[in-house]
Amino acid sequence: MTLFAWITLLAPLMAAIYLTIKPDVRRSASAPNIAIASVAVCAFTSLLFLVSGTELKSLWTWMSFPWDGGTLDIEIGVQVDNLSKLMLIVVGFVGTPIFFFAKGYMKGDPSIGRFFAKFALFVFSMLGIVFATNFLMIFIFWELVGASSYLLIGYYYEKPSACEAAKKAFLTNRVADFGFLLGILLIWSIAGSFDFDVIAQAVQDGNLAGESWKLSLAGVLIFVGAMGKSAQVPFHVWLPDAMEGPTPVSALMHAATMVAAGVYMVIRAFYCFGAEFGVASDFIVMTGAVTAVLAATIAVVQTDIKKVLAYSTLSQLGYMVMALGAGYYAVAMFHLTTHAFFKGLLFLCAGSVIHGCHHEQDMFKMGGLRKKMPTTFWCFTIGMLALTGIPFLSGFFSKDLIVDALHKRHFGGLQLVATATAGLTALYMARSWYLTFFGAYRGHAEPHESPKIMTRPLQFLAVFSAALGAIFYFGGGQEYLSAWQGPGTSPLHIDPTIAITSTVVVLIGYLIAWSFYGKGQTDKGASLAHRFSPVHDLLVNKYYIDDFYLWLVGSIQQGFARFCRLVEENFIVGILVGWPTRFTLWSGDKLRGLQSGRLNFYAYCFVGGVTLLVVFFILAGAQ
Amino acid sequence: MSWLSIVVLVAPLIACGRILFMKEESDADRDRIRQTAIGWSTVSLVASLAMFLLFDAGATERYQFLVEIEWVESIGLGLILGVDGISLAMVVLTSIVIWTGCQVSRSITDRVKEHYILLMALCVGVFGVFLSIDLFFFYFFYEMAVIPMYLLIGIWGSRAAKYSKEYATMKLTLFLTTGAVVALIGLLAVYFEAGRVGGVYSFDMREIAKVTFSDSFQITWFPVIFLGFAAIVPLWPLHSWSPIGHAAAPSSVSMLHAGVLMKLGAYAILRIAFDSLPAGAEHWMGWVGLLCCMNILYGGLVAMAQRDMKFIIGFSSSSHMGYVLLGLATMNMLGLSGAVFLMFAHGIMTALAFGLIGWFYEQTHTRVVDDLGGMLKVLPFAGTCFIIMAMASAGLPGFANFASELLVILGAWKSEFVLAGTGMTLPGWVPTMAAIWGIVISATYLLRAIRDAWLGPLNPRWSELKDVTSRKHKTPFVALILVLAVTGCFPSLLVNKIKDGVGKLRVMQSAPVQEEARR
Repeated sequence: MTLFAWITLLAPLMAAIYLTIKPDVRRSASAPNIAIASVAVCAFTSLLFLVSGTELKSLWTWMSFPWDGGTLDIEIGVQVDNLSKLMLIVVGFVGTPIFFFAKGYMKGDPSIGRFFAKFALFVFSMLGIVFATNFLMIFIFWELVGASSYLLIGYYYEKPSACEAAKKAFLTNRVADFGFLLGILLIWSIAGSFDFDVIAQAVQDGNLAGESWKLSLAGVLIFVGAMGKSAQVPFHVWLPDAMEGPTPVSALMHAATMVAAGVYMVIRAFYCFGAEFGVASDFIVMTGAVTAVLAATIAVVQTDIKKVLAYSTLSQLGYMVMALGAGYYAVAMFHLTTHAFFKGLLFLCAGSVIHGCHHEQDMFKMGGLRKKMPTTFWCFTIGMLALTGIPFLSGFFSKDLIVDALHKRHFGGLQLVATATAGLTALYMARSWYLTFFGAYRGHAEPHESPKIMTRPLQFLAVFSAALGAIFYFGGGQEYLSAWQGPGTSPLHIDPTIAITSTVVVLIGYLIAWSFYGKGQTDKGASLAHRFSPVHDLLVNKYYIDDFYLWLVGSIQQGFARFCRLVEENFIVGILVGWPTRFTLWSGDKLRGLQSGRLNFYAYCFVGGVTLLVVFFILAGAQ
Repeated sequence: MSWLSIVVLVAPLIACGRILFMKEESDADRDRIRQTAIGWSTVSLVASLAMFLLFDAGATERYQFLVEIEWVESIGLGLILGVDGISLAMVVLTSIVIWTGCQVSRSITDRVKEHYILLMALCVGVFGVFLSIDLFFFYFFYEMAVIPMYLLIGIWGSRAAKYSKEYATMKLTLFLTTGAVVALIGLLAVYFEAGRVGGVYSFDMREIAKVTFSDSFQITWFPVIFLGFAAIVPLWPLHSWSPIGHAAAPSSVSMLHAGVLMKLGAYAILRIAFDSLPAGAEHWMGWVGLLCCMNILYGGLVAMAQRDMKFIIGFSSSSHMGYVLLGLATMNMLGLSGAVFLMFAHGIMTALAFGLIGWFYEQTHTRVVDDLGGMLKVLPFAGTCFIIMAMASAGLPGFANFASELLVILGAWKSEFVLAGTGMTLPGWVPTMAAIWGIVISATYLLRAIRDAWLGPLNPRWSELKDVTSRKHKTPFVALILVLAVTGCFPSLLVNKIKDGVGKLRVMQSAPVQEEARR
């Protein structure tokens, strides 16, 4: 089984390398198949691990140093436990259909091999995070995930907006990783190890009792890292822009797995801290709440079908983070799992729509696709219903448990916020649903249903999106993850009051969307936007947060860089180096006058020098 | 097997001699000259790789592959060659960089003969520095490396922004020789003091390492040796020669210059200043921990405001060498090993960078990123290599730069920097934060450079550019990337040897004693 785990990790890397160094394979039709096979390995082993109940940990020493009288081992390893098994299932079972879909979606792209090489590289990096046994390893793969995200967002590198988005994603994550690495270093000083199990043991034994504030600080810093990858406010700006990448990339990375990596990592990390961690939970839960609301409100005014889903992802990540802050890690993981399936599905549906409409992404140029793309329509509908939490579909269970968790932790106000956001979710999802699939077609090119290789993955994911919540909830998913329950929490059950309230709110959201866009008309929405134009502007401009960052980077940081360059050119080169240079030149110039070439002047100097020497020796001798 | 160290040193010398008697009249002649240089540098490469494989990391003796040739016995002078874990890494670095450099400089068609003679002479100098265990020859080879550099940049260089190549090479040479002279004073002081205290006048570093100098002597003379060599590292604010020198040099020379020559300073500090004057190092290095933050942050910020590709990489070098200095300043196992490893990684990485910049500069005759744009479309191979290089430089795991910078950061975090003379102590987290922030800055300017030069719509001026297509031309770039990736994925290969060398440094052995004294 250990071998299986290593193979699962390394197979996508091998595929990526193979596709990169073999140009003839890269251009051939088999390039996608190689990548698909490497991901299918993950789906297969995840099932194998799940069925056989495997628990294992295998380590390889990456570097080792004599340190503090002992040794410091920096290790790379694979760890399979209930948490990583669940995450493996997500990566394998969302990843494989998306890879199949991508094969259809990217068909005809001249550099399809390059695409699948990068895509496989991403899966490798993601699996590294899933399998990680210690903080340094998770950081290593964290960075690799960031790099593969950079490469894939910027896949259409001739588009300036794609390059800009890729750079933005990478740098935003780098800033957040600043906090992450500091947090890791802090834990290392406190616990003397990077290994999750060793740290957890030290916390359990009470060895770190005196360090609780440092542990909390480390927890917050590590959470900052997660805020980058999971795109929490104020690091959220990169995710909507990341939609510049090909749609399968958005589905797998920027909806299902990579952005969830932050949540996964925090569960891993906070489990170690155990009861020691608690002070920072208010900070975390607030971050989640702000993100959830902010993103949901922006989603309401988006016109790009992928952007709606991107903001929806932000908002759902906010839910997960709220659950983390409340200490219900298993519930956060539950929502992560269900969200991965239905958001993956929704993105693929969007991809199918975009593909069918000849790369049109503006919903206002769609409409009436229900008849033209029936499979896509039904799958989108299931995904939407699951996301908005219509009873007994998967989103219903996971979202209600989060609201319940907030209720149990007495975050009364936030419970309201979470419920209201559920209503907003229904509003923006139904809006895009009506705009895309109902009314008359507003575009130009004739839309068509996508080929089977693209619709089969939709149907596959749709089944899971519908049923997974119930399977997880009734099948004891929370008990399965009981080792990762936060301190003082127990498995939650659906609370009828909460369930009914949120269902009513969701239905109100649907109702509002129907009243404005119900027949696929757009004029009512436009007139409302016109009437409340300041609010509309605020939302369309994403609360001006991006503009603020642009100003910060463009004016402040770049200004500072220019200042340093001025210092370099004027002070260091001009004065520190320039003045001694000029002094040397000047003195040489002046002394040059002595070498006049006139014999009588030299004779005078000679006589004068001899006289001086004689006088000196006489005086010296006299003493 | 000790003859291997002679082979490494002598092979480029033979190449010099051979090329001297070759004629340069036709293109075929030029090609023959080139092949000779490449051939003999391959000999060096093979010998140094053999040394690498045969080096015994657990051995009790410090230097291996020893060769001792007595010369002037009365003053304890002789040619002593040998390597420990630290110089082994540097020798391997040099041989890889020179081997790829010789291949990249195919584009030089003017005075090929002189070019390769000087390049090989430079090579002898650099190998000599890394192999010598004798102070005199150490210094001799050190100077020997500087002189060919002067000519190489002065003759085959190019204009760097508003500075002429003559200005650049003059500045470089003056800085380096001034630094060397300052260091020489310190070296002589050490030699005579060692004779006075220990009773034996010897230039043999092993003998000098046995002498215990008084604390006051060490504290007085450490800064002299340190600053002399720090100019070549380059330590802020002594760095201004370096970016201009980088920019003006032809690509093979930039590769050697940034890849290897800049490492001479840090190596000399480790080998001589740290080894003979450990208490002086302990006393002063706290300040270096502070100054190197300037290197890292300031160098990175200036790079951010540059538009010439070579200046960007030039300032990024001085930023990255700040990490090396930080590693030195930590004075612990992790930091010092990280510093040596980073010298290796940075050497390979910058060699790759300058090789690639040279590739397109020959065709575009501009390096200003605003004039470039979208070149990935026409130069897919070179562009991919460039992106890999930039990723490695920005600290992407899987490449040696990440592993080594990580070690430096870990070492700095656990270190304390005593600012001698002020009674203050800089806690380890301050430079660590600067170092981590430096990674953010480096990612910023590198990604911008990628975007401006390689991505986006293709500038129609460059639609005719030729990519690296033949195997012959691809070899050096692929080799450098492979080295970065292999040592980055399996750092133990190299680090095990480096840490053996670091563990045998005098500062490491006396560290516990001094720590007790401090308590």
